[in-house]
Amino acid sequence: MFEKKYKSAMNKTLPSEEALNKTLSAMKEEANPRRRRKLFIKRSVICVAALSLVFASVFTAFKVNDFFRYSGEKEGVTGYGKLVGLKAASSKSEITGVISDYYRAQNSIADRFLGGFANGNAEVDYIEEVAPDAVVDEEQAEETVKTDDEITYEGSFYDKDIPEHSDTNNQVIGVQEADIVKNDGRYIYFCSPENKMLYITEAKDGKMSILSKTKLKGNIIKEMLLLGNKLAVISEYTNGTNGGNDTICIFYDITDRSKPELVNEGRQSGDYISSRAIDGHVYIISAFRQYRKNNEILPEYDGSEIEAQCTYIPDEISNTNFTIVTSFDTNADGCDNTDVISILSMSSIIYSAKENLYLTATRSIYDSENTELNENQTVPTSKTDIYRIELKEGKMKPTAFGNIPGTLKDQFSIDESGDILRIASNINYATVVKRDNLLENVLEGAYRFSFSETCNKVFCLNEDLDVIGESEALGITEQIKSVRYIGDIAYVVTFRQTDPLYAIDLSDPENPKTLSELKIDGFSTYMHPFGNGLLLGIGYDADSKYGGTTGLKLTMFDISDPTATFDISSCILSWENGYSDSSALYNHKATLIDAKKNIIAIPISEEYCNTITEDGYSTVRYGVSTYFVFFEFDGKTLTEQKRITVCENADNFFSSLRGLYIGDYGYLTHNDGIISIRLDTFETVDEIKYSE
Amino acid sequence: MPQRKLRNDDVMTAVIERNAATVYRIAYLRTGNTHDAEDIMQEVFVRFIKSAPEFESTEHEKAWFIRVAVNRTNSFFTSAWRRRTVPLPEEDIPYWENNGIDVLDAVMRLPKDISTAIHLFYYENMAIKEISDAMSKSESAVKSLLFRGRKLLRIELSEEQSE
Repeated sequence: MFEKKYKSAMNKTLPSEEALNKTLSAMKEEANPRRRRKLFIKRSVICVAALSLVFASVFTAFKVNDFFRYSGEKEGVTGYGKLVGLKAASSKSEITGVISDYYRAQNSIADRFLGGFANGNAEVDYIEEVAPDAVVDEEQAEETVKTDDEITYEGSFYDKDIPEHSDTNNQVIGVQEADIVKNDGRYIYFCSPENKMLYITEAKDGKMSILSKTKLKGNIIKEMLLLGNKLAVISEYTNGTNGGNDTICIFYDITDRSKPELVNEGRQSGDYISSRAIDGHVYIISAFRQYRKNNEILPEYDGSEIEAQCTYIPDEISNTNFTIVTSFDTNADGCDNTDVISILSMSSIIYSAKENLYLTATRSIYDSENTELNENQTVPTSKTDIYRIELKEGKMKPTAFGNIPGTLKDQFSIDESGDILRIASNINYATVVKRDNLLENVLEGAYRFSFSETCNKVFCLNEDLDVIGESEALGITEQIKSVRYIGDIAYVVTFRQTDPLYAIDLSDPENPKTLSELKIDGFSTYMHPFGNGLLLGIGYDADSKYGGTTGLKLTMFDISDPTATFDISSCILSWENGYSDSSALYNHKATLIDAKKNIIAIPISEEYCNTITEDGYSTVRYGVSTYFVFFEFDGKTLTEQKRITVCENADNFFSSLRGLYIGDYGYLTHNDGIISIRLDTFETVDEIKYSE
Repeated sequence: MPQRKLRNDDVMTAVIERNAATVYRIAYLRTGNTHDAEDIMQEVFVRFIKSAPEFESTEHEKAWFIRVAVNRTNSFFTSAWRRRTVPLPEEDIPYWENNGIDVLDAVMRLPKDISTAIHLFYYENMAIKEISDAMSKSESAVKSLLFRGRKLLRIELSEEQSE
């Protein structure tokens, strides 16, 4: 009955004629009629190419391809190779030259065989399977990362009477990450992505009052950084000329909290990726995509093209997108721009230590046009380039470049410890298969790849970013779900059906050793050190037989002896009564974790469906309720302690919910207002709404 | 399918004829409005030209379109473009003109992954394995989506029928 009715209703759901026509013309435009004229030339080229291919395959031994070489080649070890360089451009024409060379190479299929005198057929391989993580990570990188460390600022305001308070969950101590909510012990700052407003609220002993509401510029409000009496709000703005976005960082002087004053505005090309603040210097990272194949468009800062000397070009490029990093000095009254650099490579995951910023870019095997391979050779399908940029008082200088096979999960996959950089990556291997059909051979390339296996490794790189050591393959057939480095130990969670927690000793970077492997059901997507010898994992519970997720799960691990880690206790919110979700699974900034105060709290959204009876009619409504859930860990068990309802019967999942504390009071900020509670009894003290 | 064929207008028209409705229905189900669904449909077909995938059969081709449509709507929900777009009120869907729309409406009120699974199972008659490939989810996850979907629909539809 349902099926028949549904089918009949769906049969009537059809796209409009107009939309179909538009789609057809979009397809034609993409296929580019210009190419058809060249078909004749191309055919002759194809014949020559085919012939030369036959000769080539007979007479030429296959070379080891650069793509499969990684920095720090060990002699006799395949898979590691030469270091590729990075240099500053000397002029604009050099940059545009590199870009047009790239397109020329892409455009020419005959190029693969003849060295590029034909120009036709641009094919951009789109492979759905390649690095889905990288896409997700980009999203995550925008939103994620915080830590427990306190950043103190000098100045009269901060000197006295500031109660103990939470900070954004920064990954590295002393490196502030941006978030939508900031808190300095007296005031709560919230930049609302939905209302495009900045709200500053004074909070004292649970009582709150709104001091100011400021309309923010930009189409999409991203997040902000708090630097003493300055606030840097990052947003995106549509750029009419190149079809992409510009990232804007607006600096407010908030000495008078009731009247934020705009002091500077930096505008750079590209979508916002991430940002960091170190010692009052703000670094904003954006990615500029060439939406059209127009090599004249170069990224801009403040309306003028970034100078060639500040643009760095790697020896090998895999796309024509740029990463732009700008820095601003908020110690100066005007928050002036200090430096701008751009790199011809598109970064997605950003990691920053205090003195070095690391940009990473993933490339797939399909991006490497000039690949020459041996049949049946097993090769990794993607690799990650790492760029190190030295940060000195806002001045930036690329100092090293390296790469490793595989893709990264998120910023927690990377860690700098002294001169050693440690990176955990997920590597997919594929076997090279030669195409038999000669025509296909010419049209599609001589090889295709057949995916063979997946594993994970932790790499140690020296100060030149050469690989000096690597762990054994972890979690074969599994994927990295989370990584956390604590001292010299890397904790890696991989998952397919059960969750092995690996502890890897990196104290000798040339010989990483796996110390232990703990298997439990489910997996953690984020791990947070919880005081001495404890590690809190936030993730999913899963069915050990089939690997399907069955609920949310928090697990406390004992890691005091890394050779014998074990799980002390888990708290599972199962999905029997309705699916639930938590933004803490994707965004570590959504968590409120403090080992000293013994606080573990995450936002949770729960789907429900129930029957509402109104005027004698009853209907079933589907909706989402959002809670902030506090957990209690007493040394032995982890249990749900208190659930505070923030929003009921909403249509959508709530993403802008954050929890923070000041002194003995907790504050739950959401898009419409703030709820304050006592942390000991969880009773509501005060509630404000921004709309009032 | 050799790539040069893709540039032939007749081939393009035929590909649209074969797959446009399938793609559009999924996009409509997942975005809940006709404008976004049409945009996504266009994007999916442009992607088809760009990536020029090889197909062994029309079933294979259809599976590719379904998978890309699901993926595109996913990235659509998280894309910057979506975030800066204010959804228009849905005035152009003639609910009142369409009988049987109650069932469609009930499906559309479900969370989008559930509705997609239900749609692929009942409308496109796909097997669990195929759905799990198309949605990049494990088979058990698809089963649980279907299970939850059926449960929700049973409650909802029995209520409506008793009215």
